[in-house]
Amino acid sequence: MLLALGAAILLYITIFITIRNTLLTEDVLYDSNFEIAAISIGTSIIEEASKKKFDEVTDTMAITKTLPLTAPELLGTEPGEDPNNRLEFDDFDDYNGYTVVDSTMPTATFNYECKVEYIDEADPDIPINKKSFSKKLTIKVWSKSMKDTITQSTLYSYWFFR
Amino acid sequence: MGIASIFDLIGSVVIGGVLLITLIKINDSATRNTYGFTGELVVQENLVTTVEVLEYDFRKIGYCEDPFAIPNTKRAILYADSTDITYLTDVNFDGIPDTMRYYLGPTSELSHTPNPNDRMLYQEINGNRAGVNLGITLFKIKYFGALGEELSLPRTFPPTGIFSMQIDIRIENTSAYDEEYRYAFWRQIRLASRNLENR
Repeated sequence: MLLALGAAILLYITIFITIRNTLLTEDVLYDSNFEIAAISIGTSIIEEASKKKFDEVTDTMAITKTLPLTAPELLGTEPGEDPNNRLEFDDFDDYNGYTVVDSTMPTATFNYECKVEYIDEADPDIPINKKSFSKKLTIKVWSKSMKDTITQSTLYSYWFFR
Repeated sequence: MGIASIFDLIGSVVIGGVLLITLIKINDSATRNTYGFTGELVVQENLVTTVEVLEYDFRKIGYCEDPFAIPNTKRAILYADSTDITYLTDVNFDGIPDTMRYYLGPTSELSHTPNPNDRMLYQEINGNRAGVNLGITLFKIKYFGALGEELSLPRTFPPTGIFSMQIDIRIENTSAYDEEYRYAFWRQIRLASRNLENR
């Protein structure tokens, strides 16, 4: 009987290790499933924002100098625009500070947050605190169900008058 | 044979029986997990493949190598419904506009697969149809106007007034262990084709 008990102990140790590995695999698969959905959110916001005007002032006039552009500290929605309703956004930097809890996805509830900054074309990874003809939108998407935060970004430059 | 030996024997049989049942359960669980993990992987790969193709094609709505061949991009979408869209594009970059259509087939077409909800996704280029079964159970498009308002469907006559779209795709396994279908979901909100100038 002792031999049988020893066999049982060995078997249960093996089962424990197998279950742990199974759960780890399951965890990775679920995580990648949530990440796919998170990427779809990030891509969507980038698509949507890229379709907007470069700046509030470029809506009605062409500019050749950066002076008329929105000041870096004022990037975001303009007075009269609801910062929580992106249907009212009319230019790229309106997405600055836009934060949402999205519970419409069937996979999980996602949170996302957008940030828009001026950048120097020569060094697009570092935001600058002055006006330029290029802006960078960074969107972070996360969820309680995910281990990591998905970060996506895009550059938008003012090359021509829309 | 003494009484101790009998107890030993009975105890061993009981423990052996428990081990045997455990092994059977483990085997079942391993099979279920193998199916589940493989199914999940396949579903995610199929979703990514589908999305890549659709994004590439939808991005080119209204595009033509010869810009004068589709002079009015407002008329590029010829027909739009929740699971069916037809538009002008230039598939081969030859400057000649092509008509491309994406639509979902009925569930009855795939009645031979164990999953009762999977459907064929068809791509039709100039009337030549190609279909693929990647386990799509949902392919739904919502259309929005220039002011972000949702448009009523179907949109049958160009210009359809479509400015952006929301594409929902759900993919499931075509077959699964114990009908436990894994799924992956993608929502491309407002994929705005750069060739559509509706405002």
